[in-house]
Amino acid sequence: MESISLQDKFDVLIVGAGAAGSLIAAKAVQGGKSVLILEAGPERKLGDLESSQISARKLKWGGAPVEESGNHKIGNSFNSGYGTGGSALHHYAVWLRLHENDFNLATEQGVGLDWPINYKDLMPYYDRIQAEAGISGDAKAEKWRPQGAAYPMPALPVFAQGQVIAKGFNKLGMAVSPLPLAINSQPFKGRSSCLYDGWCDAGCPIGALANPLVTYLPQAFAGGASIRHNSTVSRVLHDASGRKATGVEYFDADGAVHQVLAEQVVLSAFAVQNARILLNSKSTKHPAGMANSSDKVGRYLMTHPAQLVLGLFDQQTDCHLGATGGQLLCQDDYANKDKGEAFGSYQWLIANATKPNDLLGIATGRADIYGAALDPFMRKAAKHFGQMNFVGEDIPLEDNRITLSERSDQFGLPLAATHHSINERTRALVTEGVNKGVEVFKAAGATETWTGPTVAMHLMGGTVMGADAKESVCDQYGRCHDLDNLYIAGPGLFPSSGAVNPTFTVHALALRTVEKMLAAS
Amino acid sequence: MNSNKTSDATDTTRRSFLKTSAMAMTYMVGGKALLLTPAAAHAAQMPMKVLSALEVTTLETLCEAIVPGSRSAGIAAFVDYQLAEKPHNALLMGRYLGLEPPFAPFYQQGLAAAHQAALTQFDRPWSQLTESQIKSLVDQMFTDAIANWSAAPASFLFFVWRADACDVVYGTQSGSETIGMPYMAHIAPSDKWLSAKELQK
Repeated sequence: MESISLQDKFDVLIVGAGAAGSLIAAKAVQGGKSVLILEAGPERKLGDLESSQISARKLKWGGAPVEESGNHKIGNSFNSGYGTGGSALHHYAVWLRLHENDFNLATEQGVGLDWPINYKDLMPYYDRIQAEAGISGDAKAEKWRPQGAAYPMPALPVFAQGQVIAKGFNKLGMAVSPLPLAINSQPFKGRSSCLYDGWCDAGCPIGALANPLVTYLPQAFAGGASIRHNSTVSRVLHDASGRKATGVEYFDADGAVHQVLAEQVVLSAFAVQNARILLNSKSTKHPAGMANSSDKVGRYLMTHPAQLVLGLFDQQTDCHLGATGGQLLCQDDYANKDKGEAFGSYQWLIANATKPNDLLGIATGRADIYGAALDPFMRKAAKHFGQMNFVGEDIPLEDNRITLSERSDQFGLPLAATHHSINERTRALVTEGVNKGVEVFKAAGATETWTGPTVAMHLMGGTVMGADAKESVCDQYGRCHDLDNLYIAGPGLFPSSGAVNPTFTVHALALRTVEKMLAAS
Repeated sequence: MNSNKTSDATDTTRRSFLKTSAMAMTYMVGGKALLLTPAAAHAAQMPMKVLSALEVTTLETLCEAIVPGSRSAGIAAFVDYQLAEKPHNALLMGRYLGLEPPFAPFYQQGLAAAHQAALTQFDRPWSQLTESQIKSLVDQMFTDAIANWSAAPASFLFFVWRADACDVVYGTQSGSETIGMPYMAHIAPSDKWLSAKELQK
């Protein structure tokens, strides 16, 4: 393999062009820094985001295979992105705040890990991010919502599917609110409002959904940031002391090796690949991998256990309308984490916009219907289908981890091997929640109800933050304990998962990180 | 090497949509590139790139039994084209289901197992089975009831092939609207897919 020394040097080098990397790039250039982003995947443009569940698959992970084992595999290919915008390009824009009781799991519940910060530390960053990127919602209607500024836009409309299912919650004495979405219910900062056509999973080409192509990447590029696509980072470089990162080495699409130098380095390549890069960055100063003196790199890998409750109703539901993430929210079972045999918070994302095909489509959930019975079912379901998604908390377990495989990718780099299992208390949480969900559907008048498999939703952990350098990888700002200028950004920092979608928190943490970086330089 | 901007190209014509469409497939005919949907490729009997003739008839027959309409919708052309693509460009739902690239061995081993089951139980290939024999085999696949199955679990293959067939039958604009679900595309496909004949004009 030919090594080419470009002698490039930047103030800030960012690995990964997803939600966190994009935000950090924008704020860094606005702070006067020269910035380079290295992205493993190809360039994505708004015009690429055609409305097709089939086409949407190209937005998902397309890099080196990720090995998966355990009783609850992480679903890396579905949960990860590939190319400009990363997973945030196809995310569903459910922007929820972690709750106050999510930050002290070990202290308050005796399981898992504590965060090195509390909700009050993060609240002002949530408020600033929602003012910048835009969220539509009804803060007062979210009776479970922690303190914070009201949303900058009114909630999106609730269509027939949401109205039908809401009746079931109401009959059981449970509350629902509009789902807060980073989707414009009205024009916002030059971006158009949503058309409610349910193509979020395929990427939103009109700018109504707050993906990096319309939020922070334009700011980054306007400020002079550069991006190199198809650039696979292999390792982080450091100085003679081992305390300072000096840059990274990467492979371009042709397999040529490059080195780029920087004053500050940010790994924002998502939970699995960040850990893979660190573990592959072994040296005499870092024999177990970069930033891994604690042996915690790769550990506490988490994902939200999720399960669909689905059904048919007499009423017409217009299930193709709305947002993929859903129309309504219920967090009635969030506050009480210790449920006896079960453990954890959970929430319902209600009335997801649904298409006929694909993993979350109408047909896929009923593999038992085939042959002559399929088409009549599809025609009925197209008018009368409803679904909602159980999202549960995952207990951070040290043995759920990312390691390096003995197998290698096309560049000779070890593959990431992931192991993730849920324990009995988490499994009991899923069972309890899904049983409740079926009750809700029956109360709503479903003529037929079924459930999907328990799947992995979102990826978190692997480079967790913590107050103790012996028990975590990063400090509260995402700076690696072992190096002065190497930062981690993204959901890999989470010491616990909560039960809410992570993207809003990813943004809030990244804003804290970049402001610390700018202050440090 | 560096790029400091992304372009926005939402003004998509019918032809440019086909060029980028998930389902549009490029064939070289007489030195010219031909853009076809799976259905058009099936109608035009375009040559396969990966699957053999036996694999094509096996896949078409069993998929037609699972998702009626999938043969004419071009299930074989769709799968064959995606198997020939580089893995990160392949648009098979199996990507979400833990399949590791290359994907062709998974499909071909499954089709070989299905073919062998037809021979073992009925002494003839899928394309020569009666409707009741096909239904019997499909039912056995769904329940993993076929003895000596030498591939990925039959029920998993059933799930994957059913998903592929649903893609070509229900995952298109016309397929969605046929069952009464408005497609409502942001970046709209054409009202009608170009047929091979139209493209050759």
